[in-house]
Amino acid sequence: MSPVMRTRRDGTVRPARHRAVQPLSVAWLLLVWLALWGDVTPFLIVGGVLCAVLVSVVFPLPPIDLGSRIHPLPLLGVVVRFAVDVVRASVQVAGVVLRRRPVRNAVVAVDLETESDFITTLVASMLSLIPGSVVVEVRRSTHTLYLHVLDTPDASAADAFRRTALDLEQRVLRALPPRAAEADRRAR
Amino acid sequence: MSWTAAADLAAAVCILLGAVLALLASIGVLRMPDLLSRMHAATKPQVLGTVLVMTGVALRLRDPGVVGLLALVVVLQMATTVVASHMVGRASFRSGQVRRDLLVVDELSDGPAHEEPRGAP
Amino acid sequence: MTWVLVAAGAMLAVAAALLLVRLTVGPTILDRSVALDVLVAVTVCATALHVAHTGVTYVLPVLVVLAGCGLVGPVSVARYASRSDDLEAGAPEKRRGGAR
Repeated sequence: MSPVMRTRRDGTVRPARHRAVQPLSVAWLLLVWLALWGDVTPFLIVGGVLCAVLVSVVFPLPPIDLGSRIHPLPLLGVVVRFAVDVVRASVQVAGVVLRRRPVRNAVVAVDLETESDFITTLVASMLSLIPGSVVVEVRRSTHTLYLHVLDTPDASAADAFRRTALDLEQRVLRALPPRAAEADRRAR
Repeated sequence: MSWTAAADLAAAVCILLGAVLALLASIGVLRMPDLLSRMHAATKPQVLGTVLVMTGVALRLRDPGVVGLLALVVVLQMATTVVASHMVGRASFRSGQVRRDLLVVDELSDGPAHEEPRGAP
Repeated sequence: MTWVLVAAGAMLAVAAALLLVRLTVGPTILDRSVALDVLVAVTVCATALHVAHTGVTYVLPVLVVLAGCGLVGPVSVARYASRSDDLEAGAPEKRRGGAR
């Protein structure tokens, strides 16, 4: 995910500034601006858009290509399931904290099916908040996540967790299917 | 019971639950045997505790201008906790400071050595 | 409502005290940074309780800043301190050796 490069007149190569102004980041900055003011008026919206464009130009970031289309209904399902999982995670950790038995852990490798960095990041962040796992290491070239799994008494529990993680990835992929895969499916 | 009293009751329940979760998180950070398990305690109950306390405060204040700010706090807390826990976990694993006797399976150390090209995240 | 806030505040105070113990005991700088991260979150919760008590909302942007900047500490510690002596001191086999 490298920034769009532009050769200037004197021969130096710099990231193109105008590409830094992206609608998504401007919308996000505008939301933050409105939240900070705690009010929505036309004047605030205009000021917020100006500020957002200024911030994007002064502090340019490489453009983020989602590389996937959005299916709203499965996405809602993912979000609801995620909320339930966060609550379950807290209960599980509370149980582990309060009992006397010493805890056994595992480090599990999960090979993700996806090729996209964005999906990998999303799945890794979600896995950090749902029961049992913290991401220890990410191997970007093979899209492998190494997860530290809490409270696994034996190897079969570790395998069960690997299936949970892959299920989560499948759900995310259904909600945000990559564009290329979609085109493949249509061509078939 | 008017709806303000109901909202106050819900706020009280949320705030109490959130405080209990924050307490559990700190007990976990104190009691867990090694750093990686401590991080579980530091990420999960703590995030849910923050969410609950913010919900409680929003229900108590009942001011639409404030909800945006509280939602922003929750989103930032979720995003930053994940990043911080990943960085700390990676640093601890790379420096070899892991209690191997607590691990049932360790596929990161047992797997074939793999050199990642420099600059990869 | 007041006694709820008092009870929640007391629990947060106990939590902060426990975190201070972990912050002092260590044994490595990474443990301390994790404890510090949770301590920031507890501070955010406590400030939110203050807001709920007084109804004064101009403190809320402080919460946003705290929640957003809480990661700077752990991330920079993890980034720059991964080869320091302090980490070696925390490894279990070396702690018992006492060769230092």
